[in-house]
Amino acid sequence: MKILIVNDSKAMRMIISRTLRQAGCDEDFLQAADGVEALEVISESQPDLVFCDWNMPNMNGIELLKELRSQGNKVEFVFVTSEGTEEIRELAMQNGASKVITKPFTPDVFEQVLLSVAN
Amino acid sequence: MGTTTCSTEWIDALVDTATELAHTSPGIDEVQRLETYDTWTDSASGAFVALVGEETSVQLGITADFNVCKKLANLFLGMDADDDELPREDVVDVMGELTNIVAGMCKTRMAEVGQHISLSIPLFMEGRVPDSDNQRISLSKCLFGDLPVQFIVLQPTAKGASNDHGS
Repeated sequence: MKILIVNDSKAMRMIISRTLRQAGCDEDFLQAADGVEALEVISESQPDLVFCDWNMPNMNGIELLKELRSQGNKVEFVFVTSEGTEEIRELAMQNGASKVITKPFTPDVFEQVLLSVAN
Repeated sequence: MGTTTCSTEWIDALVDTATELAHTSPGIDEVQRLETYDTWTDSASGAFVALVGEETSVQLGITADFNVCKKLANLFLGMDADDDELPREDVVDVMGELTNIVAGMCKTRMAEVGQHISLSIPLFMEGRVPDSDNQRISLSKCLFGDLPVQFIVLQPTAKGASNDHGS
């Protein structure tokens, strides 16, 4: 399974990678620092699953998701954000996200997502 | 919690959410509160995030001696606390992310009582913010795991708020 992690924080990308490994995913992960970079990586590498931050410079997470859906791209898209409000969850799901993971998180949350996508 | 909310309540929220964060972070089990001050104590390094809404204007910060920031960053990244390899920019990045997570959790709490606010991006600072009549500070010294950190709340005073509106 090809997984892309989109986050402007290098530290957070490291933490999500570590957590995915703890959740049983033994892959090398694709990475991008914002939505613009993510569009390039998605176009080149066609990942199966995207874990994306909400707030980022250049193109934020919801703008990236809308752009992908407008292109007809149906990649599984999961937000990983520190803002777990109902408003954000609704906006994410309305635009085609599969799930919103709120920070701080534990490996079991990622494990559920991986199982769901694998199935 | 809003503009009229006293800094003590914000400090409580900050420490509570940091405690929740500690429970999911390797090597950090709990947050122990020590003393609270209404002035700057030591010069320190750390990150601040502003929460701004119609009824709210507050900055939340987590600061510590830079070497403590480094240990905290190591732990947060799942490394040994005393590992010396983490570059400075990664320490800055992690401190910003830690503060961002805690601020996001505070935002979620506020949304539950009907307040809509926005978060700024984290800003890293070293030293101390100059004392000013325009803002008040509440500073709680705590142990984050066994690391001494300061949780800081900056709020505009009535004078600071009126200056903001006039600018």
